[in-house]
Amino acid sequence: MNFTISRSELYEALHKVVGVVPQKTTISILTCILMELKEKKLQLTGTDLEISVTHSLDVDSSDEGAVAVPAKLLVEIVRELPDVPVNIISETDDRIILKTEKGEYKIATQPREDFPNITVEESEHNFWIDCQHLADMTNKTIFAVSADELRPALTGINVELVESNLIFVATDGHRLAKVVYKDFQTQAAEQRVKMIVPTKALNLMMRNLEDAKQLNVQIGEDHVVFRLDNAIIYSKLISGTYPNYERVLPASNDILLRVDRELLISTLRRVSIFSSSLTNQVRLVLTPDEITIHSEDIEFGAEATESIPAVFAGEWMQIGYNSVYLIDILRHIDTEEVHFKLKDSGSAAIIHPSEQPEKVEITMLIMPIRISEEESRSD
Amino acid sequence: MDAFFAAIEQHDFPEYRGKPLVVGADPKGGTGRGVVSTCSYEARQYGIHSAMPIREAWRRCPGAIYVFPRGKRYAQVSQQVMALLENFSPDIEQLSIDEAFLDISTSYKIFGSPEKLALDLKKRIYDQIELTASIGIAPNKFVAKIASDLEKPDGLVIVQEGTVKEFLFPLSISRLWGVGKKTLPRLKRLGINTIGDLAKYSRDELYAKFGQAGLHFYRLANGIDARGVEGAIRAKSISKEVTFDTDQSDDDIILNTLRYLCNELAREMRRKNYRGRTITLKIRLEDFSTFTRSRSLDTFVNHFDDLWQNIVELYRQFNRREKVRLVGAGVAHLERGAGQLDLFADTPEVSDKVDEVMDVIREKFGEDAITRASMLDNRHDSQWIRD
Repeated sequence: MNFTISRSELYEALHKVVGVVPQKTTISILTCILMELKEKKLQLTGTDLEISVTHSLDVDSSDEGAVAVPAKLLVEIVRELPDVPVNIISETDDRIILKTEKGEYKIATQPREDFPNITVEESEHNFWIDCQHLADMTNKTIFAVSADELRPALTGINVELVESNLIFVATDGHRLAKVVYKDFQTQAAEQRVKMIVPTKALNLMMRNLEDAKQLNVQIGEDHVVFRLDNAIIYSKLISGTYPNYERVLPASNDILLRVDRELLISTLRRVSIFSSSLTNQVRLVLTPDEITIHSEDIEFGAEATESIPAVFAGEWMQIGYNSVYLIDILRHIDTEEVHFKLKDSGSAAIIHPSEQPEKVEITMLIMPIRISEEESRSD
Repeated sequence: MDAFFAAIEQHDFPEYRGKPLVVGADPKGGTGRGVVSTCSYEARQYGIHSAMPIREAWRRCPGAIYVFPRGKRYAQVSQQVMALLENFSPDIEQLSIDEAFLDISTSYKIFGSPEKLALDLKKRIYDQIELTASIGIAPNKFVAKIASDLEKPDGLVIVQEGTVKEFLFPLSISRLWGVGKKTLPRLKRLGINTIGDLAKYSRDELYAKFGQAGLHFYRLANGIDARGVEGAIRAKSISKEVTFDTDQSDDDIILNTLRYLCNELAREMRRKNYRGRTITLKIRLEDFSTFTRSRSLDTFVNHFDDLWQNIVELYRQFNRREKVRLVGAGVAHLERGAGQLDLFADTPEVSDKVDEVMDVIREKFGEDAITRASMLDNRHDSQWIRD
């Protein structure tokens, strides 16, 4: 294998693949990226056995060959190279040489045969989606995914296709983000889709989107494949049942709160500096024309209070939240004003943009923190 | 209370009186395992003290009387003592089975002076319960606690406002709250041996060296402790552990033991109104190598189910090859009161109720009145030595 490629092109391509390479593994071949040259295309593949990413780019060489290169070393040297052409030569299975005008870098490699074989079968069950929509739906939900390994179903985004609605839902039990793309026209529409996609696969998919317009989603029995012109992301689906989120979306929240989004975020940021770093708890006191946000760290005697204008349809309510969760939600809404729909201080709040984008419905939900009696009394 | 467990034994069994008595694990003629829980003052003359390995105690005084703790009896006496305290102040904070803080800043007037109140209290305890107590009186809790320890047994130490520093400075820093196994060597390396040494450092210097804990040290070393009697001292972590009588390789026995520990741990957390976020499994193998494995959760928990689920997971992940000598379960990153509510939490609400009801029943009818069915098969007492 012998070809020349610009450093920046190679670096960008590696960047799209290296994210899949596991940080900790006992299987050394998985720390490698498979480099394959065939039909004037360079293919880079990484895998953690659950998820695989292949990115391909054109190169000007009719040579062929394949070898598995340790990802960390390769990415580090390519990152540090100046933007010059890099000549890559691999004559044997056990070594690859990167040559520039000034230098030569040799890396020990492993044979292609040792790299896990990833065969991605074409599936009948597939649909096309506009990349912009996909990116938007992913962005607006992925932050709410759980990191708790004990609830594996919650560690991915729940993707559903119901009639002409494409639905993305993520939740960790404390907050929930749901985005519905209505009027989703696809040939797969008559078939129902319901799958839980791991966040790692979605992040890799996002990284490979570039300026692609359309992406093909193929759904298999236990896996999903995202197919772009120059990239394929294969991922096992998370098995298990996604909790019935519709059941927990409150229907009787009828007390409306309207507030400026940016103002609420910046105030929360300031006040939450004074909250306990363990709970990030802030207390919101709602009155008809004002929100007073209060936090305290009893252990260190720190506290903060700030009030901002708002329109609240109730008379008085006090409710505690984890400020990090609340800020996360607010950051993923685009409108100037946000609408909260509340019930009481012990129930979930629904948060909406003041106006939904066309064909889209965004619903965020946050669970409160129980406020102890002691804290209430301090007012 | 002075040598509380040992004093109760000597009270209940007159033949033990005036003799060295060790409450703790079975020494088994010097081969037993586990530790000394409490010992009588007679035994302390042999250098025996709490938390000392039972073998070591045996080596020092094989002629002592060794008895196994009778937890129920101690709890009963403890309740009597605590009830008695209520005659002296309405503001009581129980610190442990045999220690409590009383805010007497107004109630002393009824007795004439703080000293008279203390003497009266000691007399009442002696007359009604036939045990001795040591009392420290000071402007704040931290100093009072130290004062109470200084003249045990049957002591009374009064630290007047204004003499707090004189009182504190000559004392060893190991008496400071929050100075444990980790911090003590760090302080000693800096040449800090007494509270006075520590007080020479400025607030900023201590903050730079120890972070938030440094501010805490600064306050304590200077006798500043603004906490009222009621909010108990914040623990960094709570844990429970047991040593097996014989090293164990049976996963069922080990897991059953852990289940029991999780239950105990959850109860203590609820009693103290703590929730914790980091759950730790501790394992000591037969060769004494000790391992801890932790996992942090998204939420603060204090239910048996949450602790147990995580401990089991941690245990399964711990690839044990040798036999196990000791197991423990602990919770760190503690927070009081507040709880993040969960969307899908049918179970926590239910376990809330279950745990609450069990706690109440046990309090009223005793430890054995109710238990989880899963623990019925747990004939642990024969295999354990409580640490």
